[in-house]
Amino acid sequence: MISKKLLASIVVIGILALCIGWGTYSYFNDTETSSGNIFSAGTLDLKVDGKDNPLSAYFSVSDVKPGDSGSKGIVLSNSGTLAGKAYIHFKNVVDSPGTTPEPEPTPDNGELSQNLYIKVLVDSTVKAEGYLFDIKSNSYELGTIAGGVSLTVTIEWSIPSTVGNVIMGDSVTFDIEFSLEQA
Amino acid sequence: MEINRKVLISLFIIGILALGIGWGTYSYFNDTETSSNNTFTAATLDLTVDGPGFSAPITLSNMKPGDTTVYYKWILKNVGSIPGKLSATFNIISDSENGETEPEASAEDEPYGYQGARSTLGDPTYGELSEFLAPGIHPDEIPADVWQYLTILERNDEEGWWIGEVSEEVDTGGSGGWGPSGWSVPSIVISQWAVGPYAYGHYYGLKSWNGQTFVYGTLAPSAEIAFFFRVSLKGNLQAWDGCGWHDINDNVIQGDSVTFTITFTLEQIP
Repeated sequence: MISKKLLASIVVIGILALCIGWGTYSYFNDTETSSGNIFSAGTLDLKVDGKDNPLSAYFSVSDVKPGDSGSKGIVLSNSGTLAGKAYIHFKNVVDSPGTTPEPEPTPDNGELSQNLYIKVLVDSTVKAEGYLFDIKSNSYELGTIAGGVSLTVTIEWSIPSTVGNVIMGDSVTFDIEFSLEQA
Repeated sequence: MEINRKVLISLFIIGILALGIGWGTYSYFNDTETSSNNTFTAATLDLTVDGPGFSAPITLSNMKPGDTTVYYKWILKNVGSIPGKLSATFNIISDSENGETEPEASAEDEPYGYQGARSTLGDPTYGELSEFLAPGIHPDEIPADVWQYLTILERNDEEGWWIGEVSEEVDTGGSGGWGPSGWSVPSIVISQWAVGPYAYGHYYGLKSWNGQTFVYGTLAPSAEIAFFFRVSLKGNLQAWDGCGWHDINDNVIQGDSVTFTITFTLEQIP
C-alpha cells in the first residue's frame, strides 16, 4: 500500500520536474559554439641514447678485481608529447662461477652479483643503491620526463676492496630495463 | 544465510571493481627499452710454486763451518689473469740449541763484544745457528761458468736481492742447477742475500730475515720466475759488534738447528 503511494508521488514529482524543464526553454536564450575542438591522443616514446630496442649492452667488463670501479652515463629522452615517469630495473641477473682457481673458496656458486655495488644517479641525486643481488628485485623511479625532454642517468659500479678471493673468475650477466610510464 | 549471500555478492562486486581498476592502470601509456647481456667478469690471481720442500720439508743435517748447500730452485708462476706483486716472507720457526756439548758450552762462555748472539750465548734454550747461516746467493758468489749466460736485470743492494735472465741451461750440479731444466729459455731467476750488518745490534745471517717480507716486483699473467736459494756456513764464524768483525769460536753452533719457512705471495696490484 505504502509503496503504491510512493510510486504515485515519484510520478508526480517527475511530471513537475518535466514542467520546470519545459519552462526553462521558454526563457530567452542565445547559443555560441566554439567549433574545431580536437581531442587527439598524446604520445609517450622513450629513447635510450637515442635508440629503441634492441639496445646494446652498456657493460662488458672483464678482469674486474676488488677496488675496481667505473661509471656510465645514459641519456633517456621522451620523444613523445606527454610527460612520463622513468624507471630503471636491473633484471635477469645470472651469476656464474666461471673458473675456480686454487685461492678461491669453495663451493663456488658465483658471488659477483652479491659483491657488485651499483649506484644510480640523476643529477647527483641517488635514485637506487645497493648490491646488484639486492636491487634486482625492485624497479626504481628516476623522475618525470616531460615530452621532448631528456634526462641523464649515471650508473656507477664498484667492487669493495674488502671482497677478497671469493669472486675470483666469477661472472654476472644482467639486463637493464628502462621504462617510461604515463605520469 | 541471507547475510552471507549479501556479503558474497558484495565481495564479488568489489572484486570486479578491483579488476576494473587493474585494467585501468594497464591501459596507461608506457614504453620500455632493455639493454641486455651486460656482463662483469672477475679476474683471477693464482700463484703456483713448483720445487722441493712442499710435500716434505728440506732437511739439512750435520752442517759444519765451511759447508755450502746445493742450489734449490722454486719455479713461481702466475697462472691467473691479472698481474700480481710477488713477494717472499721468511720466518724462523725455531732456533734450537738441542743441548750443549762440552766444547759448545765452553765456547759460549767466552766473552764477545757482540750484541747479536751475546744475549743467547750461554743460554741453553736458544741456538745461534740462524745468526751465522748465510742465506741466498750474493752476486759475487755466482759461479764464473754461469756469468756468461746470466744478465743481471735488477739489483737491490739495500734489501739484498737480484733478478737476472739466464739464456742457457748451465749445470753446476745439485738439485737446482743454474738455468732452465724443463722451463723455457730465456728464464728469469731471482735470489736474495743477507745484507748486513747494517746497524749496531742488528742480526746478521738468516736471522736478519726473520719476519721480513721482500717485494720483488710484478709477475705478469703466465710469467714464471725461478727463485734460487742456498745456505752456507762460513769457515770462520765472525760476528759484528757495530764497529768491526770479531772472530767467534765456531763451536758455539755445535748441534744447533734452525727451522724456517719461505712464503711466496702474489698480491693484487690495486
